[in-house]
Amino acid sequence: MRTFKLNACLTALSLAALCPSVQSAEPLISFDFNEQSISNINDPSATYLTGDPNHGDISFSTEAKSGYGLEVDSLRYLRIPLDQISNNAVTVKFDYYHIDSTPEGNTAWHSHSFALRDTSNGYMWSHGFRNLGNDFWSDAMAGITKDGAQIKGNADDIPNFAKNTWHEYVLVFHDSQVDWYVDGVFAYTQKFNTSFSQWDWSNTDITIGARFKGGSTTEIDGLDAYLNQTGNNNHLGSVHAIFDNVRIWDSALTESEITAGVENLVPEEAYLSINKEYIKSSSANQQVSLYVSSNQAWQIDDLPSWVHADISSGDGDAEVILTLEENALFNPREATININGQAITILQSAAYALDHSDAVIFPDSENQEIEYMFYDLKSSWGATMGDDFADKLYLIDGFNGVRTSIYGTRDRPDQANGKPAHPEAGVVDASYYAPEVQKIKAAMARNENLIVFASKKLNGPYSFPEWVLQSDGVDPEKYAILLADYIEYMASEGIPTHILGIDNEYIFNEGKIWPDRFQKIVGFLKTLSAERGFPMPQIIGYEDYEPGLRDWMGNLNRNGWLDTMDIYGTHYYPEDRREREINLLRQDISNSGFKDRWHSELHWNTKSDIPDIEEIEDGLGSLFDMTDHGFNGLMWWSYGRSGLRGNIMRELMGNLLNYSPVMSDDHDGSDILTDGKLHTRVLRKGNQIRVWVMNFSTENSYQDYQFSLNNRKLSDPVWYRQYSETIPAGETGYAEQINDKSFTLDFPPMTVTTFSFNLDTANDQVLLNESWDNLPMGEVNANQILAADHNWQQQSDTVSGMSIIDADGPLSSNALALKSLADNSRLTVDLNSPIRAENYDALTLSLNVMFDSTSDTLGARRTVEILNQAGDAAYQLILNSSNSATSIAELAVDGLQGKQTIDLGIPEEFEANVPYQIHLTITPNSDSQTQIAWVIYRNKINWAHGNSFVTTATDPSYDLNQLSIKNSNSSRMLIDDIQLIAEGYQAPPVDGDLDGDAAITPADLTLFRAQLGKRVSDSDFNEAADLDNDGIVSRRDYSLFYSLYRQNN
Amino acid sequence: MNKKIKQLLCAATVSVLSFTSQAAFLMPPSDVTVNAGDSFAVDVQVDLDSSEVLTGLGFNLDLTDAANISLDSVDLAAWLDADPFADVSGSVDPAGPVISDDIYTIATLNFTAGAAGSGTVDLTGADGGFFLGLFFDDFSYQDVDTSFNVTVNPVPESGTASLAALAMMMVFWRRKVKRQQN
Repeated sequence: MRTFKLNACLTALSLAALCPSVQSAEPLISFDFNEQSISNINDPSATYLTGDPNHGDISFSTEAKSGYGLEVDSLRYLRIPLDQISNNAVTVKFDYYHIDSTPEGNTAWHSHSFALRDTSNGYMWSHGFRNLGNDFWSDAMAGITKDGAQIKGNADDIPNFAKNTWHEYVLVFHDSQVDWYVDGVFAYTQKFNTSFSQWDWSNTDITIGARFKGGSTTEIDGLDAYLNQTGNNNHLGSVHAIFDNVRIWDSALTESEITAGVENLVPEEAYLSINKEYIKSSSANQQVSLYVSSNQAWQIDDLPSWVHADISSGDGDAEVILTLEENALFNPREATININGQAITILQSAAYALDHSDAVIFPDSENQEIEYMFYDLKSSWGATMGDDFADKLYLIDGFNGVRTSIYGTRDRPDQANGKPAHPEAGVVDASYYAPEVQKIKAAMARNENLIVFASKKLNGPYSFPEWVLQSDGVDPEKYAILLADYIEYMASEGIPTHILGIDNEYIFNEGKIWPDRFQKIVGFLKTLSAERGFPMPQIIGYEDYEPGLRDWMGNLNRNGWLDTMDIYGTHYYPEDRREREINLLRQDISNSGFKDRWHSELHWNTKSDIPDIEEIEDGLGSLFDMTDHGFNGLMWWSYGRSGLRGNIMRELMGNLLNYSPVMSDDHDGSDILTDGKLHTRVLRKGNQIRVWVMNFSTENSYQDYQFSLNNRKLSDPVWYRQYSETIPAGETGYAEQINDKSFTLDFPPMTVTTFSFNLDTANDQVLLNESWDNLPMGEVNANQILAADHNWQQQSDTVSGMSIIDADGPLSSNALALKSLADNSRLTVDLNSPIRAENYDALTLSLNVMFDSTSDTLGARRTVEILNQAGDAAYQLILNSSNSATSIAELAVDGLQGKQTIDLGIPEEFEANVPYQIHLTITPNSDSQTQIAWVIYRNKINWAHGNSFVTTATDPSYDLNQLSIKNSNSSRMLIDDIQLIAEGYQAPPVDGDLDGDAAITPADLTLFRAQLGKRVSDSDFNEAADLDNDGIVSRRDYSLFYSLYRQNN
Repeated sequence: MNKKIKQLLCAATVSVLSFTSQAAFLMPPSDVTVNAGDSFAVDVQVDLDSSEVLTGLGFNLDLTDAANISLDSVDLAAWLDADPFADVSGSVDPAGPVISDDIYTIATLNFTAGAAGSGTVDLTGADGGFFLGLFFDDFSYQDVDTSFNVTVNPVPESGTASLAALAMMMVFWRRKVKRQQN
């Protein structure tokens, strides 16, 4: 269960307790700016003018009387129409904080800040600030008549006030005068020659922060002065000030009301706070309390039929008892109710479902393994690397690669910072590479399989030596020579160059390595590799600072140059984390042709003026954005090992290399782009699981937050480490374990928590594991048995178009392609061992598929079935890529209660020639229910996932014993890496096995001999010996045992 | 189903108790003749056809009607593991040879002859198929109910005694026994 902070509510409650009830007229218009907007509390839909945004600033300042205030500067102001005034009198109140009255921060003659004007009649009354000894005060109060004549105040009577302090001004316009009160005390009165009864209120407004030009009610003064230009609009005077709590009454308030405090006349701001926004319940009938704190009437809307409220509306604070009916369904259910628009999500687990959890981990949904973690020597500034540090990097943290610089940079005009390591073709100045050589050798000494990734070092438009450049960028052939010189030099030092980055961040160098130039460079380098005899490195590209820039990958792809690039690399910056960038990244991936994906410069900002914890969301987020997208190589810029950031980086290192991300869903979904959500990500290596929980909300504290495994069990206690700004090394301990699949912990605001535990895989039974890799490429003849990892049998001679093909890239090296299998024909394989539902906890089927075409035969299907010994499909995965299909993919379970089918919720049609990786976990939950969890990756990117139930159970009287593949479409289905695993496998009891080892051995004979003659009433009676179940171990049991023994020995 | 059947060969030194698969066939009882004071042995044998695989057996010896002899010991066949359910009781070791389709000596009964006279030794094994009888690997069993006679002569003259000692008689009889099939 989770609760949320109630600070805001408590504050509101406190105010409510302090505020007296409203006795008099309420303001007609009211602003408090606390929402950091110009919003009339009494009419939020109204909009207001604020002057020309080019000539001054307007903002919402925390230097406010309360909450936020409106800060205006120069020619900016707030205009409030008074067309609702109906009593020929108006009272305006505002809190005022005078800062200065010129753009330069000085003072001016007329520092007017307020005007009331009738634009129809040309009447205006203007109010200024009288700054002690500075501002010209004689005009601090002035009225103008219809003909423009000014009526000025009596300077001697106008009081002075210090600036940079708050004052409450109340101006009461009535009859033909204004009464001015400051801080509740009468200050000044001025009379006019026109009664307010003669004003046209429909065209009257007030302006806050504006100074009008002398004699004018329409022209803002000071523009020429602001722009520092000649002209007659040259009076500085509009103020730089902060206004707060502006109230306008349609009447003249009395002195007693003002003296008593006009804010007392302002109704307390409406608030409504609810102590829960998320309710999770078990399936049982139960009651849940909601506490509503409010000073207004409220109403509960959108109650579903299964939720009842003891009261559905109220006025003020109340406790609402929600009664949740028992969920006798097989699926969890969810509803969102609203109280005055505030949503409360209710999630109720199902009667037969696993206890629903706040977050669910799908442990058997592994995506792309992270194979490479690079330490960046380009951002390692030291001249050498000591043994201790090298040990830490390569032996403790486990980096298995380094990125290093290719120099040849020139000096900048203002800075001698070049490293001209390649002064001419065929020449390398080794001195520039000495630090890198030492550091790489230190790394190689600790990891003989170290991957060396050489990357061009940039120096802005001075990144390449002159001899490599031509008029519009690098000369491809000459640059290839430079690269070859580098590779050969490093080889002479015993350092291989495995990976070569020939460009990065296109606009930050003068190379202009557009795809055409890129492919030429690679072409020349391949030629040099052959001629000079050095191994051609793998080429990474295009490594720009943002994905999708200039459609670089699209251009490379469209021009057919994809084969000049081996690895897609990007620099995707933390500040770029948003939907647009993700879409651009996906475009690049789509254009990259199933190449490995590397983030070759992960940034994690460390601005000195921002706490580390506040930069982690983007730092971690940009990393997990990559693992979400099937990246298998990562490299941090500026890896650290100390402090909060360094501690988290170090733990991440241990959680990334050779781990594969697996799917997880928390209560607010798996999206990680939205800041402030609870983010969870899970990685798996073998049976090791690492969970990352990131709570970057400053308010939400998640208590007793429950994680559950969708399938599998915990094999040991769950260890956690929780990082925060105050505990950068992390607080550690064991999470509370609820059962063998679930655990809980609290996640306070601004914390990063990791969990470590192992899965129980001891009783995994691999029923099938097919790669096709041992079969030769080519057509498969009819009736031919496919002696792959398993022997596959063609069940009909009508098979056509079946072949083993090279699908390296989208799939793995060998894949089976098949099409046009007639209705009754299919390819079947015996499972390694027959298995019954009662003997396992869950089955996980994983496979990779790809389709030649999506314009398929109407109604034709691609199926993968798990058959039982009766030849029926107990589980049938149906992949129908026909555009006219009603369901893109579904799973049918044929069991005791009949056949039930669930739609896998595929969001769109399968695409042709794109690989899909499917993970299905089938859990027989009860006698009448089967749970299905599915995760489908498209091109290594999460495409669809879900979790549901069907109301039928696998027939326990049949063994599952075969898997079948069928494609009755005219286009090919490529299928690869099929794996079927039964987890929690318990071998069925073996008759005659007295010691429980699933075999009949001499030990069982000894045990049986000792049991002969025992009766059920004997304390040492072993029922396994009583084979005829008559309560006595007799010679007839022995006769049976004898036969069993002989059969098995 | 009835099937039973057995032959018992008894002699002063070797006797055979056997059962045949021909239910109607009964071997005539034969006497064992020994001299008073002699020790003698009787082999108990079983004759199994190819469809019968013996898994165990148990039967008791009743010497009530053979007061002139005493049982000294029982030697079980090596392929039987003795168990305590009857005078002659054992389980066929499944790791040993298959006991089927032949005549097998189950046990050798060792007696001492007392005073001259004659008597009958009864062999019985029937408890509803729990522990007594003959047991087979097809979960069937067969009760045992058979006997043999022993005649003890007075101690002869020396020449006569020698001759008597050499005279062995084979006694065969058959008895119909109800074989029960579970």
